[in-house]
Amino acid sequence: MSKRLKNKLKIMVLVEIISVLLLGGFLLNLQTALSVRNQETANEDILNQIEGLMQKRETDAEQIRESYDEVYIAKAQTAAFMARKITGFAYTDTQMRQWQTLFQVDNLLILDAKGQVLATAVDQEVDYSISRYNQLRQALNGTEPSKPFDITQDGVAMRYYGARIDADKMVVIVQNPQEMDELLERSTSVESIFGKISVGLSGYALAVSHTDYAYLYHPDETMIGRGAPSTGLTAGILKNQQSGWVTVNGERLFISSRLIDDVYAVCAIPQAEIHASRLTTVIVTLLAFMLAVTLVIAYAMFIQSSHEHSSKDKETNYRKVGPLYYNRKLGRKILTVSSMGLIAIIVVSMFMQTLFALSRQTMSDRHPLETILKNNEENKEEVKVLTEQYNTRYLNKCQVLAEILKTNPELQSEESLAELSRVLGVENIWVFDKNGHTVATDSPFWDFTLSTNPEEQSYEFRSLMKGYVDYLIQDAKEDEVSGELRQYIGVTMRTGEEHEAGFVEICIAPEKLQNLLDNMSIGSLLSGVKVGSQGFAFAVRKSDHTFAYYPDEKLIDRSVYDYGLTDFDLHDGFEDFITIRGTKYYCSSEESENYYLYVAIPSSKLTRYRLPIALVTAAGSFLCLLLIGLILSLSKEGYQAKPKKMEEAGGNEMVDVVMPDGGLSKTVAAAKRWSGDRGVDWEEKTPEQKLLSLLGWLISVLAVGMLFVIAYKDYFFEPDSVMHYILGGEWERSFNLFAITNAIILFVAVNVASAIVRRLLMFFSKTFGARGETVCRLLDNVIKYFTILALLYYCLGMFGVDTKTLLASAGIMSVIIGLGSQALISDILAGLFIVFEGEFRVGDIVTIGDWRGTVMEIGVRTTKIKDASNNIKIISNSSVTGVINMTKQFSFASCDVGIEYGESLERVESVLREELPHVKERLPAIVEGPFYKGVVALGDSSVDIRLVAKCAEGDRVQLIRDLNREIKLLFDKYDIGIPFPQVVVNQPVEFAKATMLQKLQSEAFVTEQKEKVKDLGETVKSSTEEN
Amino acid sequence: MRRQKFRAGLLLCAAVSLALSGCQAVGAQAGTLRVGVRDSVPGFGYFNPVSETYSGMEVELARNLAAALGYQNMEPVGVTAQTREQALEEGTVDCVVATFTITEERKENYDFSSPYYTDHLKVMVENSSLFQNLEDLNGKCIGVTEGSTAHEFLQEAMAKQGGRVTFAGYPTYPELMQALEVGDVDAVCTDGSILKGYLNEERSLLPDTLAEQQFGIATKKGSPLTARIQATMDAWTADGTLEELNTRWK
Repeated sequence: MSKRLKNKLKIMVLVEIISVLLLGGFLLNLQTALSVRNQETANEDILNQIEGLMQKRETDAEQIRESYDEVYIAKAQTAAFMARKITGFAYTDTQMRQWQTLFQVDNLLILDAKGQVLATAVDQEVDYSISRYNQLRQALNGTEPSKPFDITQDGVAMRYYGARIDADKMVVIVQNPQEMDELLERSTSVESIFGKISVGLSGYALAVSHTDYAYLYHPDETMIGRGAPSTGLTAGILKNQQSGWVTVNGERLFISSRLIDDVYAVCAIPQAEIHASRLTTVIVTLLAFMLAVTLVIAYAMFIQSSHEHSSKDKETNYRKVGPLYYNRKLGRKILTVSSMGLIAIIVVSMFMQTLFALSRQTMSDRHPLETILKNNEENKEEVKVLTEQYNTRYLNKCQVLAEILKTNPELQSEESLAELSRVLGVENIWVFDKNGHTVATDSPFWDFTLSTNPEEQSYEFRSLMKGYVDYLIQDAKEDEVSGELRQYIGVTMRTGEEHEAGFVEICIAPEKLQNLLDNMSIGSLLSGVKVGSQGFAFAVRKSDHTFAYYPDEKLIDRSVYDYGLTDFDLHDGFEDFITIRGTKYYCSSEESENYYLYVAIPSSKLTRYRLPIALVTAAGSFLCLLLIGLILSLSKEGYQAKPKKMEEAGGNEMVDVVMPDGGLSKTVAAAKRWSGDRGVDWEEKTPEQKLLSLLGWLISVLAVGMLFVIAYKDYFFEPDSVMHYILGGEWERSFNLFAITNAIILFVAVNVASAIVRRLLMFFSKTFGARGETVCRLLDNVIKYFTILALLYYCLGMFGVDTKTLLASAGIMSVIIGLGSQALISDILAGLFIVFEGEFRVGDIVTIGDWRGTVMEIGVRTTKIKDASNNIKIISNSSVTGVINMTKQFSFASCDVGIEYGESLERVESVLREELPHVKERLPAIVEGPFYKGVVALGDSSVDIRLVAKCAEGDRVQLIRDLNREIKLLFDKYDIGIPFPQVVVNQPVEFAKATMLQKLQSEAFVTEQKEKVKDLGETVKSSTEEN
Repeated sequence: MRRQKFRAGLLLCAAVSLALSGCQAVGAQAGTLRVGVRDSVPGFGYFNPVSETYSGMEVELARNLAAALGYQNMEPVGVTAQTREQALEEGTVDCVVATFTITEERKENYDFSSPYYTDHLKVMVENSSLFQNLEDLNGKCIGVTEGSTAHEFLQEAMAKQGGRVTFAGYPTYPELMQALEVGDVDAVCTDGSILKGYLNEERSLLPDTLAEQQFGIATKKGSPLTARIQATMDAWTADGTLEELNTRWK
């Protein structure tokens, strides 16, 4: 490599490092900025959600209070009603105590208009005349009861309800509203709202009081009550109501805050989370960038250095650009490689962005789904508790009523019952006698009789008459006539010993309870869920596959199949794209008892930053590659003659081949490809091949690094990080991005691993000799095919193909395959026999059919044999028949020589006796001999003698030639003639004609001879020629 | 060599002069400014018993002030309306930033900075008492914090309407508010901004505004700090820092 090139290389590397750093920094910032912006909009949505929940909380709390107060107001009014109705009612403490028990309240007292206590159940030193209790006296002014209010003393709250008896007297009920407060705490406290909010993966929502800046809610319970400013969340940050970075308790958070009522709602997401995925994405993108740039640089270097060596470089390749020369050929090649690199970078960047966006989303979808599930479970409990609470309250109403009517039978009139209905807050009252006939009612059904048909609703109440139970609470049912929800409760009027007695029944419209229960339905639960930007939740009923909830009400109760969902989408742990009404959503699912719950994000929102980042990366890479390309292809001088020609490497691995299009290309010789060491001398390679080798190495290094990271993924990645998720394999088994990613990782990893194992095998095979080599080559073959099959099988599994059924049906498959690939199977079997019977091994010289050569490889399917001319014949193992293995024992090199008939055989033999040992010395290939075998034939023109020598089969052919040479030299030395065809030219002779006499004599002779030998057998002259 | 010595000498001089100037600025307080702040007025000076920290607009003001005056630390000392004057007298604090209303009478005893906050006296009642305006309060007992000037203004306002009220004093706001809760007093009268911190669904402020109250930073009469505090306050008023602080904590 010339000095100029070295300098260029240094500059290149410097440029690469600088661009990697610049691009890295830029990407990191961009990614953070985009993540932050993304988070900001997501936070905005979450804050909106919180705001909605806070508003709902107000109405919910109002509902809870109202329904609670309703009960106690009814009690106060009933008490007032009784005081009014019962003639000669005594305002005594005893009476109050009785009522206190009957009404199940904490205290019950009678006040006069001035606030003097006339009677009380519990003695309290309270001055009711002070202005604090003015509210109670409001009741005296009209028929309306007073508005309830709380007074908290020593941490215990008491709620006051007043109802008018007459102009001067009122009933006051004092009750500790613990039950109400508990319900409020459970369903409308700040904690109940903020605890359900999920922000990203590990983020959370905070609530800070606007009044004293203490934490109202923090996931860490020890923080609740602490001053937020002292932890780093200062008033200034909160007041800004903007998004920004804060350090809270040493943890760097990205927060958005908003003042809702008197609470600062804060969405906080740890910096670590915003940074976590960004680092891996950027590193992978940078790796792709580095790979591309390194390859471009290396390629350019290879081209230039090969051009330096060859003189093919023509001056025409250069064009003068200003003071510099532009190498057109080089420029073109660099451009090709650069654009390929650029495309790779864009693809990798897009891929990584999508992968991370999806996995992040899938992971962050888990939290809302789990929260929904948890809340759903909690709601179920809550529904039970609430129903029970309300039943108890309603029952108490009925018990009170029964008590009143028992002690005051005169009130069993329609008018009184109507008034009682009003004060008790029930729809209707019935009084039944012990036969189940209506005695009195304020309802239109004055002659109603309990049914005797067990099917009917009223039949159940017969058990009350019989005295089996003291009370009966029916579940709320829709009224057959009006369709409204009605609940019936009955309490016996039995006194003393009697078995059968009448009972009182009340009818209640449980709207308040129903409202509360509606608030806990799945729809109400899901409507509050906001996931990321524009995400939402929906639920599908498991029973009939209809939408239980969808943001668009039109879809509710419709079949999911009409809106783009398929059976494939309806299962637990689904994570993929679903197109609902033309919009593509990325959905995650979770299964609850009755529903499939989904969280959906519009796919456009998910990957909206993918393109900008990919483009920025591409633009950066383009600039960098352009710069490098220019530096490489421009030079100060134009064409330089470089006479220095490197010595040609001796290898013959590279072969010039003519491509179909007529171009000349270099390729590795087939033998080289098949032989054990696959490498070609570096210097022999063309720049393109060097580039490919370099790419291979780099990818191998990366793959090994990747394997290492994957093997120690617990060490490198947090347990709930995105990478851990991708590598963890918890994702959905279908043809999705995660499966593809893992398939690619697996493919590269397995290939690298098998390549390493195969290299090792090659290495071992050299040590273990022929048999080892054979086995190793077979193993190599097996590994190659097995890995491909195993990979295929495993990847199919990842893509959601049911591989178990595939295996089960393998029986049928194998028949089909067996028929189709009979030849293949017989090849493989033949191969196994060849190896394990040891017919021949790698390196043996064999003749198969008419082909003689050295065994190169015994594969699973084929055997490769190389002949003396280095041609390779590939024979299917099943066709390997009639093998002559010539390596098993020593061969004989034999050589026949003719001697002139005139020569003395004895002299020749004595010469051979003298000289043969010397021949052996000169020809080391001879193992034994040469030996004189004697006269083979008395030939036409020579006496043929034969010499043989024992040698290895591999040496035989050459040895014959050598022996021939030795004998020729020997015969020359001793003047022993070797006959050869000679042409002797003679003068033509005038032949004499036979005389008549001679003609006659000869005829007689032939006849006489024939007669003589007539009895003699004919002997056929056998050939003396033999080999 | 000589040059090096010269340089070392120069450095030493600089260090010494720096140290001296530092001493001047810090004075005898050893780098800590002790400031009397309220501990029970959310938004102004509030001591969080859980995290044991002070927060509020006045606390932040005090902290900024200490920094601006060159102190390394600010030590908040919790004071009440009753104890703040005493603390100032006894010298347990260097200055008081504790909802201390500037009055002519107080000006005779203490140095005040220009006001950093303007407030109005308000009356808060329980909704259950059904009081709608000042007239309803005639003859009632009004709770105030001991040492505050509120009662003078309220009585004045009542007198204008021909009414009269009695007063009950409580040392701290929580005690005052408890008295209102249980009905020991019929209403409470104090600075509106403070009352806001104790508002809830069952309480309301009467619409009447009694008097303008201005909070100032108080120092002992003739304290060397007075002028420096005033200078800082002037600068903050001019560049809007003070206004920004007020809006931030509103």
